Amino acid sequence: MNKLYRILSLLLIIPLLSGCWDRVEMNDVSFFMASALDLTEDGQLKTSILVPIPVAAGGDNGKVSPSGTLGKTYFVVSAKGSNIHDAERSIQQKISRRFFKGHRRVVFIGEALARKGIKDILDYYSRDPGSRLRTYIVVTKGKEAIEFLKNDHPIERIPSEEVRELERSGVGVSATFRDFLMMQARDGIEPVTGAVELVSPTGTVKEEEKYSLYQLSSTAVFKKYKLKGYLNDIETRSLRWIKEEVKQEIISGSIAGSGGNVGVVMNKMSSTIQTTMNGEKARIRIVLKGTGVLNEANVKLDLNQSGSLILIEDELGKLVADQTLRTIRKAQTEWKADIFGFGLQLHLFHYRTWQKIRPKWDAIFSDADVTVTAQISLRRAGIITNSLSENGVGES
Amino acid sequence: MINFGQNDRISNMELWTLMFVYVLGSLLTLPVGYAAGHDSWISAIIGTIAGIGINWIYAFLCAKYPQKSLVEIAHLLMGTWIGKAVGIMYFWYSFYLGAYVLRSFTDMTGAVLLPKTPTIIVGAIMIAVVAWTAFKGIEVISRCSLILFLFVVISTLMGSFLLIPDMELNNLFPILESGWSPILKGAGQIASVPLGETIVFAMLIPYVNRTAAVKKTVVSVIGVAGAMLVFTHFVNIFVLGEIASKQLFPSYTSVMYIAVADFFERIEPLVFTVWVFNEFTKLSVCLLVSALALSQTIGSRNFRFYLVPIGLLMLLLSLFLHPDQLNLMSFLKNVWPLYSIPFIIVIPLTLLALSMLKRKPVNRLN
Amino acid sequence: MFKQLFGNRKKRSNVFQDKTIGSTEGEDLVSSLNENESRLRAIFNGCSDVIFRSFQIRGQQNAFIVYIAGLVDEKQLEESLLKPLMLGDSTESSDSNPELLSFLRNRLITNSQLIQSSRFQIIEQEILRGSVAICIEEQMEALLVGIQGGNIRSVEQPSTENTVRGPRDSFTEILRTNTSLIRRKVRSSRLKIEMLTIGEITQTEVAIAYMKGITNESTLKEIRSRIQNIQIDVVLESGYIEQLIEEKSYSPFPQFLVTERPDYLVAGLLQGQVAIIVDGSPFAISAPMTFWGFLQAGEDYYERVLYANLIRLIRLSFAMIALLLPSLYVALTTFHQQMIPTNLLLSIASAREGVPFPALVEALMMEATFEGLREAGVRLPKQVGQAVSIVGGLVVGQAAVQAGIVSAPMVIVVSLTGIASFTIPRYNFSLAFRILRFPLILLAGMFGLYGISVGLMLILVHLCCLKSFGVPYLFPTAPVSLQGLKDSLFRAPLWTLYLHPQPTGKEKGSG
Repeated sequence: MNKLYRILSLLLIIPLLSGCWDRVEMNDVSFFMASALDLTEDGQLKTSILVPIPVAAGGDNGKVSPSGTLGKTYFVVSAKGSNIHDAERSIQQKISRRFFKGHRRVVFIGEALARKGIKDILDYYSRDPGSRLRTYIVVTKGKEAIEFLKNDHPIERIPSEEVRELERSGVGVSATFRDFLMMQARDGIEPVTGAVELVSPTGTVKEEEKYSLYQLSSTAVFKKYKLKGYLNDIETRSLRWIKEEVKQEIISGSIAGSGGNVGVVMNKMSSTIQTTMNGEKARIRIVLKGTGVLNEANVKLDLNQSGSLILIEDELGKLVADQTLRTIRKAQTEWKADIFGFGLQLHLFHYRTWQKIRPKWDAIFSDADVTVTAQISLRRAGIITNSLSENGVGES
Repeated sequence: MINFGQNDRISNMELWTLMFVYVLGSLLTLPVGYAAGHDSWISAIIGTIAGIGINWIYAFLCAKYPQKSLVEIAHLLMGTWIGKAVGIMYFWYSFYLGAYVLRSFTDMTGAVLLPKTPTIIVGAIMIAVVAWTAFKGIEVISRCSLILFLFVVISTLMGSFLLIPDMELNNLFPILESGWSPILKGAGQIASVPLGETIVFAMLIPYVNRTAAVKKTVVSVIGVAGAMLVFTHFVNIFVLGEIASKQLFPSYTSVMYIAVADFFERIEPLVFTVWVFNEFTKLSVCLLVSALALSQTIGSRNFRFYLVPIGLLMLLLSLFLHPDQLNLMSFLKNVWPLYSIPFIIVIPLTLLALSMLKRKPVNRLN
Repeated sequence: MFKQLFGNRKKRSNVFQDKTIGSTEGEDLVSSLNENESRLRAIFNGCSDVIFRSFQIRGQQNAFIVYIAGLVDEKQLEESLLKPLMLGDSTESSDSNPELLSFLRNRLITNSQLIQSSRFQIIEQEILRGSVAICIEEQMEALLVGIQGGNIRSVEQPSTENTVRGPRDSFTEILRTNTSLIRRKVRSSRLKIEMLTIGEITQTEVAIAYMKGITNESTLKEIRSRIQNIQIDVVLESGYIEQLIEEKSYSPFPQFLVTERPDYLVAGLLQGQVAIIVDGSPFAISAPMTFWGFLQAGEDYYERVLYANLIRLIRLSFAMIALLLPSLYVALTTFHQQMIPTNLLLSIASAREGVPFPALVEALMMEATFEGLREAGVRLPKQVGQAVSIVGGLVVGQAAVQAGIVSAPMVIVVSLTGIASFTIPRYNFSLAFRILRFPLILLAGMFGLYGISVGLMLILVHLCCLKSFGVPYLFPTAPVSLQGLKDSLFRAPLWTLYLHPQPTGKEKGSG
């Protein structure tokens, strides 16, 4: 009996000898670092991928790389197709190495495609077990997405890594596929994602710079999977403050009655939203709170007096409230898209009310009565007291 | 051949860990209980309470007849022929369960880890290891579970802990959005699939050295494992929100989302590895129990003889069960809870009622 | 239970058991001195190291002594034996023959070890063990005086098991020295040392040491009977005994502690182990041992508790590295590339670019090379040691990487694995990890992490089945013993531990 089992188990091993079905050597894999999706003029999907060239990317102290003959650290391949897989098939025909999508961190979506709708793309990324849900989804503002892949970056060997770092650093709106899908799936909030522009590093209009930089400048607003428009950076700040996504932010503005402007580093930022329904009319009250440090004071105020800081706080609060209100107005009028999640507040905490108004929410939101107040408190004013005067330091 | 099967004894602690590892085997593969979207944690709580009830029935029964397995109790109470029928039924239950566990295991492996490796190879390796382990007997399986228990707990807790930065507590609200009917449906799945499957332990309780404490052991392990289920549901809801119910493997998808310090990412194959241990334990128990049930039914003393044939049949059945994964999942979610009612509720309850009617000391001496 | 478990010990046949050559079985001394001498000369025919010396006891009786040169302390022989026998007053001696022997025994021979025998067989054996045989005219019995001596290695520092803190003595090749080293540490009459003779030809003395009252009686009985049942011609090392009485010969995991340090052995004895010491071997073995026992070193108890626990944790993690690192590397680089952080992945990919071998082959090749280097390091004469380390380090490491034959990450992995395997304190236990590494690499190369988990599963099941003399190999963890857990992976402070923390001898439950 025992012997029989031993023989049987040996027999079981035999088919294993031809094993290694899924084994793939690293040299036979091409890693996707980023993808760019564009809409072509004839309505097809153009997929471009960025593949790092291993030897060069690994940093081989100045040796000439055997495989990277272009002297570059990456290359970009694109193909057209009716959907992503169709396009990837054509790309695979151009690259001998097998695709590996597990390291893709950024997906650029061309503006035209975003306006057409990205539902199919989301399906692909959430269905494929090889892709990460933690892949940043970025809309390329103004240009085709492929341009963003091909842009040599002065610091990063792999240009798309720079975009990922930007997204992570918290300077603007960032959304992974999971975030986007979750926003999309929830009732009462419309998804947004970051929008990146290619800008000249020194700001010169002339196109003589050899490279461009990425700027995470604005927010792409989606509704029903379609890009509706952008929020600029001030509006983005308002949006993120309302959603409590921002941890640290610099606010600067001129202070009326002081003859100058200030710069404040905010580090505790919170918001309270109160949405109440009055019949078919929504009342939204937003209180923004922030604590910060006065770091730049080009004002003619005596900072030693307690009233001065309060004045700055009040003026900044007005400024912020005004900015925020304008942002909300823009969303209300231009897109009728509740990107702030006011409806979500109702949905989460006043479900009965929400059930009644759910189908009409877009209309209700667009003519909701919004009031914004901002309370900013400054804790410190740096390590000097008054700002430099014309006569010298320490005038007080 | 050395015969060490009959003298195997396991402690209550070993039974506890074995059942725990067994129950948590379903955690990663089966999207059970997610019918209610972000309310599914309520399903998990209700399902756990129901599961404790279900498990209490057979634990009580087994405590009443120490050293007797469920099939033997059925023989005693219902006579030889009905007893044999019951034996065959439980053989079928654990055999079919084993085939399902194997199938969902190979499916998941194929979907996420080894897409090109033939399913039969993955399954055959598993069955070979499992048959060898079952051959060694319950003592070895339960001792393995003691060690695996640590891995399972650590990997589950670590996986959840690392997801804390990505959790959004608001996902839990509004409570009871989808109403009670999907919640109860999910609760039924949880009570019958991961928690009800423990009925096979009614065949193993006779091996426990102190039968008196078994009731406490079973109830507490189902309670703790159920709490673990609830906990996992919470984690998945916090991380995935509404899209949790759309995922085929919600826990796996959440684990995929882990990223710590930009370095420790995509650790789901590690979690998968630990989960292989769970499935291994579960399959070993299923195989052992089906061999035990069969040998007790036909009056054979050597259950080991049946291990390899049953294992191979299990492998075959798992290959032909369902045409595709979605089909399998919908079967598990919709049909299996109903299918398992006779096995996990009706028969144990009947036996319990019969045992109440009959005077018990008669059987003690057998 | 024991019978069931260990029933099928194989009987080993004796190849050299030719009783006709020089057999002295059942023969006694005769009264004629000449005849006795010629008989003994016949026995030791051709043994040039056997010395015969004739003399007269105080000028009266003829006598001769027989001994083996080198086994006997010749100075003592002359001083304490020959001098009093040959010189001295003849009147003192008794004339009557029967009392001569007792006179010698009681009045003349001052040595402590002395026996009297009439059988050639015993005389022969005693001479071979280093006694001096004295045969006297008309006496039917010979006196056998034990004055063993000669050149032996003294007690030195242990050469294979180093510690920073702890005793510095180690066992030698002489059994009596070894038992004395143990006795010096345990001054208790509960320490029992039984003697047995194993080996049809070598007649090796084997000592079984145990603590009465601590050691489980059934374990002791089992070990004793297994040793008694050994039928073998040659015992040169304690490894012979270990292999002949261990339960699972084909298990990669050792079931005996092998040590040359008396303090380790004594610590084991005090935990209920049975030690076996073989004459001629500086390595004592003891059993039952558990998995965790093999991961412990004496210093764990000598150093303070926090550091001891840190070291135990590090040791366990490095043991796991030694077992798993190469296979994890293979699995991750060829199956689960998504698990490697992107930057690391790119550098590994660039290092691997141009390497002709698949990662699996590379891993197997490098591991085999490393094992070869290690084996060479053990075998080579000390004078050429440096050469090998240069060749090994420089050629295999640097040159091979620069030539692009192997990748640098693989060299790092292999050397880390090698270093890790040396952190396991018991050499025979680290062998298990070294062996198991290879199948795990193969499994990882075929199925990635799934293969590794299957391999780990198999190892775990095997460990759960394994018993060392009735004690489950994973003892305090599976089955769980709360008392035992105090000293397994972690060690509780010494004051919470009992004198014998691991009741190794006791069996669990009714099984």
